[in-house]
Amino acid sequence: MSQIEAANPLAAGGLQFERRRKFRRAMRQTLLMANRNKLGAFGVILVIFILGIALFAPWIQRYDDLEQFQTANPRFNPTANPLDIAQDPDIGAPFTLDRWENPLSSKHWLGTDSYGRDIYARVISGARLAVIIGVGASIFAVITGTLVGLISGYFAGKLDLFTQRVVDAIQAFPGLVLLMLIVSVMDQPSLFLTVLALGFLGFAVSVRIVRSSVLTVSQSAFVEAARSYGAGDWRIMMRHVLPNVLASVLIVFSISIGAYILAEASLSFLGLGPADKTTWGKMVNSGRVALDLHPWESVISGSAITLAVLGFNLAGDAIRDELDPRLRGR
Amino acid sequence: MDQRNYWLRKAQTGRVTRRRFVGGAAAAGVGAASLGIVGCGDDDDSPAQATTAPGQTGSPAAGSPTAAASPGAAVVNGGVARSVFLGGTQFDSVDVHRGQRDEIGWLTGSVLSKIVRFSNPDSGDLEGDLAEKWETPDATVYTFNLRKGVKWQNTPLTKGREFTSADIKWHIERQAAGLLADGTAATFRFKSDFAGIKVETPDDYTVKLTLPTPNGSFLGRQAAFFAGVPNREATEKYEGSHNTLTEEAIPGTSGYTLKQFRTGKDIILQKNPDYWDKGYPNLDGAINPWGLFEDPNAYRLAFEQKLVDAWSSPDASLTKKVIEDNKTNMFETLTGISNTVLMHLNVHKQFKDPRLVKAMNMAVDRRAMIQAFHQGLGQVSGVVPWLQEGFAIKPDDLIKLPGYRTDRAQEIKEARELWAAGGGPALGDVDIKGVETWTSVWPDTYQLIGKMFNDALGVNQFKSTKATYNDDIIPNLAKGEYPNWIAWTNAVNSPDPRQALYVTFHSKGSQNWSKVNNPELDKLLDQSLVAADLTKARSLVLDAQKILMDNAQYGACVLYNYISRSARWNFAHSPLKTQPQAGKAAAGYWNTAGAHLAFRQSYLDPKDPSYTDAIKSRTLA
Repeated sequence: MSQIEAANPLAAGGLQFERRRKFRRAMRQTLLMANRNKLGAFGVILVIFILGIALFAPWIQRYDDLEQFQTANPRFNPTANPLDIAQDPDIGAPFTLDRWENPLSSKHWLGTDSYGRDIYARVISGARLAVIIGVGASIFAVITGTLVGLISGYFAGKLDLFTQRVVDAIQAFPGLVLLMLIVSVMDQPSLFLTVLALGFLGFAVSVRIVRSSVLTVSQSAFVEAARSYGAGDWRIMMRHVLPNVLASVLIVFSISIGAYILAEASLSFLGLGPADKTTWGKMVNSGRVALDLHPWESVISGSAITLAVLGFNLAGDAIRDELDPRLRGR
Repeated sequence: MDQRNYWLRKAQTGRVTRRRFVGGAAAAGVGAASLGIVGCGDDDDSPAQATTAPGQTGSPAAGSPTAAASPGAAVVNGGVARSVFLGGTQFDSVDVHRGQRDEIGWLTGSVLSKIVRFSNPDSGDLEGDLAEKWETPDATVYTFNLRKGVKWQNTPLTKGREFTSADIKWHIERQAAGLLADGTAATFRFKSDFAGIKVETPDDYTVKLTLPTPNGSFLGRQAAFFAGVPNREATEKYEGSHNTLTEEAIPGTSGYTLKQFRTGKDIILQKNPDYWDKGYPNLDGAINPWGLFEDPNAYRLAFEQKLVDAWSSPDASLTKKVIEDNKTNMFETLTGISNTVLMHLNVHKQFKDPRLVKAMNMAVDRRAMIQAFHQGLGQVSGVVPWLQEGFAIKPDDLIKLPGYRTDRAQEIKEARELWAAGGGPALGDVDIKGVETWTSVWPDTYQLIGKMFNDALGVNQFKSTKATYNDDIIPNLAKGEYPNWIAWTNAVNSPDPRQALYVTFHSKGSQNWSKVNNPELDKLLDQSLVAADLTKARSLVLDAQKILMDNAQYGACVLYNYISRSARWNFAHSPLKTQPQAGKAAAGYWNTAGAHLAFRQSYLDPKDPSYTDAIKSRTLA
């Protein structure tokens, strides 16, 4: 209880009432927004669902994503000759892996893969990676892009010219090709390096959008006023320009997460993602070898990618719509 | 004692047929060439060697089959085979003397003749190739009478000149000296094979070799797939750019010539019109699409569309299913992969303490790896793989040795004790690299390997990242700066492992990357090489293996050899040890069959229902 509430019960009751009122208003606005933008609401629900899975992965994935389920093999013959093993592979090992188990069993809700690993556990584990990579790359891209875009747009002139040519150069390359190039140069793509590579790709987009907003805001009267009062460039950028381009930054951030998740899945599918982690893209690739016989691994992990990307994209679009008065209500 | 190879005995006793299958062999498989065309070979450098290449499908043979297709059908001349070259794109040199990987040996097995060759790769029986006949009174002196009329492929460099004894003299003396034409030293893979050999050429068709000591396996070594005799003029011209692939660097004397050998392009072999063995090869040529090996799905699609004649999936159950769905048009072969799977630890760096090496040798779960990567199709191998059954430690004895015991709990317990005693936890991160050619087929290796060691040793310090033979491993072997890795090592190339053991573990061996210097081991290896009596040689090799196994193979730990299940279209005939019968798999040779077998037994049958106009219209252009 706060001091005010302790000292004045009436005031405390008023505060509680005010809080409830604000909460109800927020809820009402949320519902209105959801009603106004049903797809966006669906996207937000998906995002919340995926974030929840990522957050609680260790508690809900049931098994370790690398655990190989096996069954003891009473027919194991350690001295079996290779000829007999070729005829009957089961006699060559003290256990057999529970490979390609079908989904919807109580033990393996989504079945197992070719190495006897639980697909459900791997999808859940992959969700965490997808969120870390998507959000991490987006944060990296937005922070660096905002900083550079802010400076470029604010100071303009030759610095802006140079910066934009660099951005042009980055954007001139097809995204995935550039990404593959970066990751290949890195040699061994770890999780951190993958985030950096994806973030670098998004950096150019962030710079472009932020710089565009900064150019507009910089011409505003309040910026001129601040300058006439003797405010320094840094203060103007941080106190007056940046707050007014944050909406753009937020939009870039939210919309790009899905793209990063998709890009990472592409990299992993091609064997260029973080090799020591379980990722959805890697699962799609792993399962495709036997797609016609055992489609579950690829189909399930592919569906996870689809839902995640769809969710973040729809949610991002909704945020953009809400923050842009021109689009609100359309 | 029956001296024949295990697989041969099985085949000849009919047991194979009864049990349907086949076996064997390997690897030859695969690799080598696919349809036999490349013929491949074996290699012998031992298990512990460094470089290697995979073999995953293929097999030298492609056979034919269905119950409808008669194995004994008349051979048809002409046509172009298409198959995947094992190891795909992993060539490290056009100089067969200097290449550290097997692939160049496999490829040149079809292009370069050898002094002698295996008439039966499994049993090790020899026949003349460049040599028409030979005499060896005491395993010290070898006198070869060369075949007359053998011509080099006609190129601006060779001008189609005749092959003479001077070519063999250069071939041996260059490797023995380890020097390039300008006198600079270079790494020659088989240098120690030729150390101290005196070469005399009384005339153009006679070569007399005098070895410093008797060597019972010398002749077999000259039949190995990497033992082709290259052309001096071309080899010396391209010495400075030997890492760059070009067909011009390898003029041939054998059944095929290289029409195209360029990075990124299909490897094209063309029938050599001047080949001394008239009438062969049966085929006009063969095309090995570049890079298909690295993409299992593209490989499968290519097979199903008959763009290649044989195929093997990393998942053997899938291969089985595809064959079952196409019973009337394709058949199954089972071949043991001669490319031994190896874990190589750097004993000069992290694994200096022998206790750590021993701990790793017990922590690695050989049988689990066979299950995970090969669906159980394989068997653990000691330092001499089971493919060389005559010399290998018997299974009953092998399973009593650390690293091979069936009591996994005991292995783990002892491994943990050794790991702790050797200061393993203080090593920090330990990276057991997955080699790219392997991980392209089994990309989950990175996760599985790290977890296997972490679980076994009760730590969280192992990981597995990517390495390549050509960039990370081969250039660093001699310097002792190579990473730890797991993948294929060089292929077994003959039934006799003695020279390979010498090369790898003798203090004077040219591929003794672990720098093993054990006088007792040296003595046994020396004695085994000069032993003319095979029984005595086997006994000596067993004694040597005991030392090696007691020392966890000095970090070059052989894990296992596996068996590849391949699917082949019925029209594609190639060397098989046993032909398929209705509902029964064919057996391939376990070590690369040898190009000449492919010449003689590979052909395309236009009368087979699986043969199409598209296959008929294949050209080498």
